[in-house]
Amino acid sequence: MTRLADLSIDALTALLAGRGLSLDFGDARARIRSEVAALAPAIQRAYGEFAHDADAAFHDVAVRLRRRGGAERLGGARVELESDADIPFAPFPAGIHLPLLEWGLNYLLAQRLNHRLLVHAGVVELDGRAIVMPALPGTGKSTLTAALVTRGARLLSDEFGIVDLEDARLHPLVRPVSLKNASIDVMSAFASDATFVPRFPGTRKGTVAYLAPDARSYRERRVPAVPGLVLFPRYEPGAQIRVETLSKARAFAKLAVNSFNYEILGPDGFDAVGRLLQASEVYRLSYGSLADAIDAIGELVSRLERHA
Amino acid sequence: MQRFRLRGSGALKLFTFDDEVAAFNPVTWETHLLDASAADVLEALARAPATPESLAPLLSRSRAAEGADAAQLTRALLDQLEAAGLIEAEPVDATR
Repeated sequence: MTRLADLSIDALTALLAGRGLSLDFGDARARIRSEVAALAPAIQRAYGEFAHDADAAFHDVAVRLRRRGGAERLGGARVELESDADIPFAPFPAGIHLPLLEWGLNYLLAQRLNHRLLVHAGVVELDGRAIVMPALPGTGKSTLTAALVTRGARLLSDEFGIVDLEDARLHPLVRPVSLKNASIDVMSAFASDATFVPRFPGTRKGTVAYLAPDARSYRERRVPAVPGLVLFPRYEPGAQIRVETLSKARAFAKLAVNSFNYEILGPDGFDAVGRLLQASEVYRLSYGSLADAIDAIGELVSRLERHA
Repeated sequence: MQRFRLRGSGALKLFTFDDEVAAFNPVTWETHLLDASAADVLEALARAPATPESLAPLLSRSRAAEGADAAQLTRALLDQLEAAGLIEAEPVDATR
């Protein structure tokens, strides 16, 4: 199948305006339609390694981006996201189309994947083991996720730790990594050869940019990863690297609170968190430099028992 | 003598991590973090209803019980587990 990066903008625009672009993220599929012309080049850059799945018969999520209002309206043209007649957010300024799409997909996917435990976390795979980094304030989990991916880790997700209810393996949901504000410059300097989607200033989260998933992460989007580390990172400017063991019971509480559907799943969610922690080492990692953090994580992974 | 039992008919779910335990309440679907003594008491009650006196020896492995009044500590622990909705006192049978 043709990579989106190799499609013409006209062809991609026609696809978005017509029957829709079908994207396979691994554990879920989405159909995207859009009448916002500027979305096509942004999608092409953010999802360049992906292919349009013309044969997909089923989509977990279907969204449409529509133009609202016009230049005469106060604040200028707007764009809104609609899914199954639901409009989850107030319209955004027209230039913030890709962030609207990404946040809309996050919102919708978080509600529709209840056959697995969904933890709000960044997840990568390194040397065959999953590293789950829950999204607690101040963690810099997206920056660290992006940094690990640009140093050879496989991206599973920047947003969702998708835990199998049977064996606690982590399932990929490969999508662009969202970077905000200062972390955009940090990552651009850290990995100048990676593909970044140009910045979207003035969003509700400030300036946003995206790191596009690499070819291997997309290719292995159906390959789950065996649990390895549950890592609670904390970015502290200027801090020396520090690794501390964290009680698994405390980690249990943090994961449960940080889950989208723990309460919905009840006993199944409890078992999934418990199995994930039984199969993982749990650490708190304080770091002031991405390079140091990556070295420390590599060292922690190398100490894990090889999984049979 | 008053006996205590687990609440609900659902199976008790526990994950033990070193000296701490995560427990799932099958009635309320709440998760509780407990120390090892509390988990021992729950596991004992999962086997059969029991009196505070018969449960008291389980607290001996807890540091808190060293030199303290075991009966008082047991009662306090049972009160906490009852307040958390994990256990309940058996109804008193007036015919006995």
